[in-house]
Amino acid sequence: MGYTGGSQPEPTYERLGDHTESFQIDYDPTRLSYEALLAWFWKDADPTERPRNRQYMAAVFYADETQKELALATAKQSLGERSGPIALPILPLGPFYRAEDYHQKYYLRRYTDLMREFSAYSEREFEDSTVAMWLNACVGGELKWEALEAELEHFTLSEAERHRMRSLAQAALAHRRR
Amino acid sequence: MMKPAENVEAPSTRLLPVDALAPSRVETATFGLG
Repeated sequence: MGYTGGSQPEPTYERLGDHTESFQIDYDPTRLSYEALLAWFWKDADPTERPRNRQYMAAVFYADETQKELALATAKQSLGERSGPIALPILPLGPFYRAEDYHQKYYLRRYTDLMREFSAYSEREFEDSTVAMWLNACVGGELKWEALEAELEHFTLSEAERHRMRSLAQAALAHRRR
Repeated sequence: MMKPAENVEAPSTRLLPVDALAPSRVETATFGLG
């Protein structure tokens, strides 16, 4: 989670300036494509929607020309039969400022039993952690057991490591928000 | 966007099992929250 798109240096949640609350996804392109991420984005975003304010603005921030072309192409696909210009901002990515720690893995941070597992991590390692992302999604109700099991299959783990991952997932799912 | 392989490191017991496996390639996508 972070802030981007504006001109104010070193923004914070309290002093956001002209930035937009944003999120970055680090992904393995051999397993997930940028097009797939865009398809997921356009499920909730309307390409004809003009932003009402800068802080909360659905937007695509492209990192290069390839991402720009894919964002524009998928926006047009998302329009389907409708006509009208694309009003949702598709903007070049400038500096991305990480949000304060408490905005990262927001749901997971409430659970001391799960957070203890990350006690040896630096804040940056925690933010970038795949396991923290999974557990955050589990307690947030966004990731179910079967999907997590399928994800684990993509990693070469010993039986003991796999067992540890499953135990953590079970603990996280037990905290799931209703 | 390609990132430098800054988090590539030897398998570590400090990190949880999956996190200890460094990805071979990482790209980044950025979206604004509506």
